[in-house]
Amino acid sequence: MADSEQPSARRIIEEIVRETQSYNALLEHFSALGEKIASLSGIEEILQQIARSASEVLHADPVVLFQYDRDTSKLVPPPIYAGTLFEGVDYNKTFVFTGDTFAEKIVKGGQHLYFEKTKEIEQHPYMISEKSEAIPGRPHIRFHIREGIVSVAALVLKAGDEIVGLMFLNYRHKQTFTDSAKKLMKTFASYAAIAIKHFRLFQQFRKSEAFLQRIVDKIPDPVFVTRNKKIDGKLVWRINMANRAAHKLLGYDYKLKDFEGKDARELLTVDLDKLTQALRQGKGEVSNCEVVILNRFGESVPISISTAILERDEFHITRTICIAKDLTKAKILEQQLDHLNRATLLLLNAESLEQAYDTIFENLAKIGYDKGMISLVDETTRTIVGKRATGKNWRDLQYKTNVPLSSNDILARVVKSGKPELIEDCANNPYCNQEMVRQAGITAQYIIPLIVQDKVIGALQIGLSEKQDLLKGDRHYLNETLKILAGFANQVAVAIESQRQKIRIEKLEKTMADMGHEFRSPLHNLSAHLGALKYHLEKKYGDDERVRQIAQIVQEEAYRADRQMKNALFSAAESLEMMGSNFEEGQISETINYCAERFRETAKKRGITIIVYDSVKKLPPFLYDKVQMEQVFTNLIDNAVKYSYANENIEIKGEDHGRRVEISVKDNGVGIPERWYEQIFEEFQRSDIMDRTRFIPGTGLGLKIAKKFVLNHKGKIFVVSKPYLNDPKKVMNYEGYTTTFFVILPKNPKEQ
Amino acid sequence: MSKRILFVDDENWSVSPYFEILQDHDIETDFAENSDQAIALLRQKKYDLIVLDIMFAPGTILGQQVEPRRAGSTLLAKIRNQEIPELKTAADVPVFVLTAVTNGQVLDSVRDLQVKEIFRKPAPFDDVIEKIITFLET
Repeated sequence: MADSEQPSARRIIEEIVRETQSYNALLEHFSALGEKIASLSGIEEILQQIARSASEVLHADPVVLFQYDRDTSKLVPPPIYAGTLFEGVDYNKTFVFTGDTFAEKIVKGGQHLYFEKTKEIEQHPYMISEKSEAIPGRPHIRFHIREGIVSVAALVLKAGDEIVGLMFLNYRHKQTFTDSAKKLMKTFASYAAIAIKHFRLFQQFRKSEAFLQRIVDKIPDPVFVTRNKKIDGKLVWRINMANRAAHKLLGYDYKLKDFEGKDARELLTVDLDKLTQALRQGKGEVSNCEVVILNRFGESVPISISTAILERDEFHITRTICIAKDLTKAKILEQQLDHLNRATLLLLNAESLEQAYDTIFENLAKIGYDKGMISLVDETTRTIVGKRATGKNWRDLQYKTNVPLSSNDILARVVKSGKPELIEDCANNPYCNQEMVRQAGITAQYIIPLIVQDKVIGALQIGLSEKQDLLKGDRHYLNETLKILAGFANQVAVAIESQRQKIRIEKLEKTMADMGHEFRSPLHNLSAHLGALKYHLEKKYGDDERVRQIAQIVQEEAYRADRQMKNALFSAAESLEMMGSNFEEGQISETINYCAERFRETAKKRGITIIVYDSVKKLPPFLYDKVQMEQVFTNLIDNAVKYSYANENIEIKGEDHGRRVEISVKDNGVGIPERWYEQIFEEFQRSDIMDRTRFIPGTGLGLKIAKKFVLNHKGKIFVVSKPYLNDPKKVMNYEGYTTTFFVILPKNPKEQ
Repeated sequence: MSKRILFVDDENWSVSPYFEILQDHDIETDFAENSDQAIALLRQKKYDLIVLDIMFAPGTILGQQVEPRRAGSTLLAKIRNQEIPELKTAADVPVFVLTAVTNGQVLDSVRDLQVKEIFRKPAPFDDVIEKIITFLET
């Protein structure tokens, strides 16, 4: 019986055997054989194929083929038949070999058996020792009689050590089982065994695929299983399994499994060789490797993958499982945060409260939140009032929002607690005003308190009715989103408060300017008329010392009134920091000279000379607020003149320290105790030192204002007072002291 | 030829003390208490100097409402920019400002309108007189 005569079955089997040299090779073989094997829907088909081949190749008729289940150590019924069978018996329905212990004993014996005559079977120990019932009753014998079988070869199908089945080759004519016939049968048996084993493995593999798919499907994150092959010397990862999330991530329909089988290189912009290297060198796992994957539309989707080896052979990683974390949401969060941070800058530069509101809602809309409202606390009425809303329903709501702080309304609760509230179901929230919520059609919202320096100034409501995806989706993403919104609310609060401050400052500045104007005008009129009077008198009566003296005094008093008024006005500002500074480049010597000039006459009368040294003039121009510095030096010179002894000099010197300048105003006169060095710049406490040392008469505000203005320039002001007389009694009484006020100013206060 | 000077101030008595001494120096002094009066005078005569207040009421210029806080500077801006009909010749008239306004921004905006001098009220009487006379004599 030449091989060539029976080509078909042999070829399949030989092909299978040839191509399946190892377990992994077999798996590859089966996937490669693809259609051929895949067309066989079950083990029965391949068994039938084998049985038919046996019938054809070995001329056996009929062939009975059993599968053997290693796990249960039993032959698996029903057997497969090939060849011609006695008509009228449906062997598929009537299981002939139920309880065929004979067959089982052959399998257990593990040896091929050859029976040339029926008698040999009947007398075989496996047959006789079992069951005491009449021989014709034994299923096997009955089968032989019914089918007229004479010779039988029982072949144990063994693949390696594993028994996979048992095949009876029956003959209705007497056979002589020669050695060569036996050899052929043995070879066939081993081929058949290998084929069955491989098919089983394939099935098992198919089962494990399904198992893996079930697991993969249960993972909520996108999962890809790749099969890796070396093609043209390069390792290619092919995606061969993916779950619903993975399909969704890449924009594919789960049922279509469009991208499966694609080279991962086409989808991942990751260096697979590098990743493979990492897998090999490490413990077979790589965690959180950020890569970009392309979706169906060719767009980049950022993911982070954790990869583990599923299978490997001697040389390659043949299979990996990649669990991806969708970074899109993280990127969205990042973008949102980035966007809102940029919006914050715009907010801080807003020119008005209205513009700030516009900026807030424009930017919230840009990141997808286009409904909401800002309400602010009205301190006088103790209510929370809707200030600005966006989105039609919310605008209606704005005009109705006037919530007493004492009420139990959700808005009042948030303002009072200072804690944000996420309300996912307004209709069932006991603190939501149901009528308003219903009218405005609001189902969900996030209410964030607006807090500035621990004070809640209002609340920002963000409508989330249309954001069910967000609310029902990933909790972590929701929380991160809320955090970002709450962070933005902080900036909103600061911006609103600074706008309100600005309005207050503007009002105050206006009031001060008006008040100043109202004071200065009569002072001017007074001094101008005095001037005219003096001129008139001199014209009429000639030069008169007395007239000049009176005129001088009135003039000086007018200036003094002006100075005091300025101090009073400045301090009237609730907080002097609120005063905006107007830094401009200027020559400080001009300002100082202007101030010194006003005191020169008064000083001269007591023999005091105010000397502005050249070192002041040599100071380079720098940025300072002229109005403020004028007041600082007016106050310092005023102070020096007041406490200087007669016939002493007041010295004003300058020093350039690079990034800073130092200006000192020095007088010799009444001293300042060291313990008062600090306090003299604060609110003046008269009682303690008024008798012995210098104190500031009038408003007592001069130095306080000087300090505030110097601080506005981010500068420093301090005093040093040292005795220059060696008389202990005088030192005790703070007489004969050189007192120097130092003002240190940065050349660019904006840079500090 | 005698020099001529126009004082613009809503309070006559705020500038009137200067009149006698200036007149003694052969300087003709006119006075306007608002923008419209000033415009009328400027249309009639040529002035060698205007001494201008900044903040005065009512803040109207030719029927147009302006911010009283900046009435003077607005008037000057309009003169400089030749926005007032029949007043083109006065576009570069020298101007001293005499004001009780101390707001830096306002003063700066005035400075930009080429004023020769800014006196802040209360201004030393002799200083004002001396600067005016010196300016007109040179």
